[in-house]
Amino acid sequence: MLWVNIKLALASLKSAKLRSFLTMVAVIIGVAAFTIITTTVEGLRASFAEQINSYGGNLIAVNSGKIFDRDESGDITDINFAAGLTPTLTEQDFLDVVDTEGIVVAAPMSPVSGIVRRGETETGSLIIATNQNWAEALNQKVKDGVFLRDEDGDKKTVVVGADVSSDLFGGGGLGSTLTIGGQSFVVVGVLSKSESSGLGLGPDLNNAVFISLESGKELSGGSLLISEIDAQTADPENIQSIVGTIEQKLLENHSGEQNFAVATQEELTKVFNGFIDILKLASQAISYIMLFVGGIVILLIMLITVGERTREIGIRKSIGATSSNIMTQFLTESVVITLIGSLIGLAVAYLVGLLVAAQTGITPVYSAITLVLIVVIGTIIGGLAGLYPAYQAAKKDPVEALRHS
Amino acid sequence: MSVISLQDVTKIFGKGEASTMALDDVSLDVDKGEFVAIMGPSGSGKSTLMNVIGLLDRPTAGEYLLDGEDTSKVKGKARARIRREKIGFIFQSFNLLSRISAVENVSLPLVYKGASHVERLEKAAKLMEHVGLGDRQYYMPNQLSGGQAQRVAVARALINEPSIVLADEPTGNLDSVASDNIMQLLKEIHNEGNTIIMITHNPDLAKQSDRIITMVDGRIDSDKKVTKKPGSKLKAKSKKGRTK
Repeated sequence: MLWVNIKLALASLKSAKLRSFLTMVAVIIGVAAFTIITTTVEGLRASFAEQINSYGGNLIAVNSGKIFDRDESGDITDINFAAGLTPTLTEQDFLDVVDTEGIVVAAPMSPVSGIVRRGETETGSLIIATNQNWAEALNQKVKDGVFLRDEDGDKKTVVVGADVSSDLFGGGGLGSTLTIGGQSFVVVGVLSKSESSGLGLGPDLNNAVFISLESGKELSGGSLLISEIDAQTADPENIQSIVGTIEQKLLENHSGEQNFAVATQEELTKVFNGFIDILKLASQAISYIMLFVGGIVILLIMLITVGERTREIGIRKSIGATSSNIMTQFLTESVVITLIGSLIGLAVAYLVGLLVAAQTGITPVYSAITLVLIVVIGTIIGGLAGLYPAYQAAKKDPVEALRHS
Repeated sequence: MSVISLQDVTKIFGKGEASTMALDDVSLDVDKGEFVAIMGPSGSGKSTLMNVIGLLDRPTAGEYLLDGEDTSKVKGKARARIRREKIGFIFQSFNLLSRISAVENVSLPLVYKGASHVERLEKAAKLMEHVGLGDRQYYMPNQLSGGQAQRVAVARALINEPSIVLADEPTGNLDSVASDNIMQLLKEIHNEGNTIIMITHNPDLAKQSDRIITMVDGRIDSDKKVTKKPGSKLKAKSKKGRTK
């Protein structure tokens, strides 16, 4: 019986293709929007996870700005990314981190403004001034050459990220020169490709160049502000207490003003996930509205359809269909339309997802659960929207219905 | 034994000032195996009578016993089931569903009975053969002539092997050849022992039945048996046995 109704529903759809399509349009858009948003946000989450995992589980990051707070039990609350925009850390902070028990290496990161050029080509790369421990502190690998050495500090050496190497030097670059802020630098190292993709909390390390703190100060007119300090600990068991110690010391340095945030890699992941969850809910809200509109459209058009097929209902009842047979028939039609619309919406979302991946580097994540969820939501919307029209159809009086044209 | 028994059946449509009395105190008994023709001007209540007999409509007052059972006690699903199993409807305007093929139209009552796909199409195919349309099974209704469409409708009416066939002006939209075809089929059905009630405007067709009932203004005006003697003038005998 169900199969008969499904075949019937499909036949009805085919016989009025334009109308069927228009009925589905709102659902298609709603489902596509929901899918694109959900999968892209999840892609963002996966991207960040990849990035942060590449830093290793022993990372402790000290960020400028109070991007989160801690409650009494030490858990992270009140995430606020906007606070992290201005550098607030000092050299003293850095030295104190280095001196903390359990910290093996630490490196500061100071942004430097200027343009990176080779001949006529500009790369728009980030310029970061740091010390010789940077690669170790962030668990990054050097592909060619070596990282900066403190003893070369005044020699204007530069280490380039993987994308800079391919953009300017076709994948190599060791020994070549480029200009930064008008000054000539020699490439002494090329980094391996990093998982960092410019999203999440950190800069895009692949499109960055690294110079010594001295060079950085020179390019910045004498003083540098530190935006981030990254460190590795050899004592992961006690990582939380090490974090606590650093927090205390920095608080002292900043005279009690907490304009910084210290976190482990694990905590940073939680912070970002919290941010992602909020983003997801807010953006999904728009798609919920679209899905609701889709349901309304289906309800209205099914009502019209039922009105047009009054005679058919009369005929069916006259040959033995019960009211519930009729109800099931029209309800099936609504659900079938919605399901097909949902599937088309999924296909559209997939195509848009390919575009998103190509343009932004975020790969949308499709999980089986999301797909099943969408099909279930589709069925429910179709069912609910179709209830009233199906009911109207079911209660038609056969004699009157047969009189209809 | 009366298969259909109406006692003082009244049917009123609408309310108050706008009400019409379509059936006015109608009493009627039809025995199993009778072929009854109902005639009368437009608005005389013929179709309403048919709808009540066919369980498509309920009397406002009075009793209707079908096979001895009081139909007022039968509701909803049970009504549909009885309609499906005991009664076959044939309409003037064929009333086929335009979006499915002929054989699927014929098998439709079996869908509501719950029969399997194979069973349905087998039975429907047989019936289509029976009405002479075995080679048109997968034609769509709009690809059939009027006569062919009505034959499909007859096949559909028969698929549940009903014992009562109700035909409302079955030849109204057909030419004389097609008309004869349909009447032929009805007579065959009748000869198999089934009860047939047919509404018609055509006196020649009415004479092919056993009994002619005429209605005027919601009442039965006359109820006469038909005697058929080839070649001689038709002598009509009234139900009470008096010859005219």
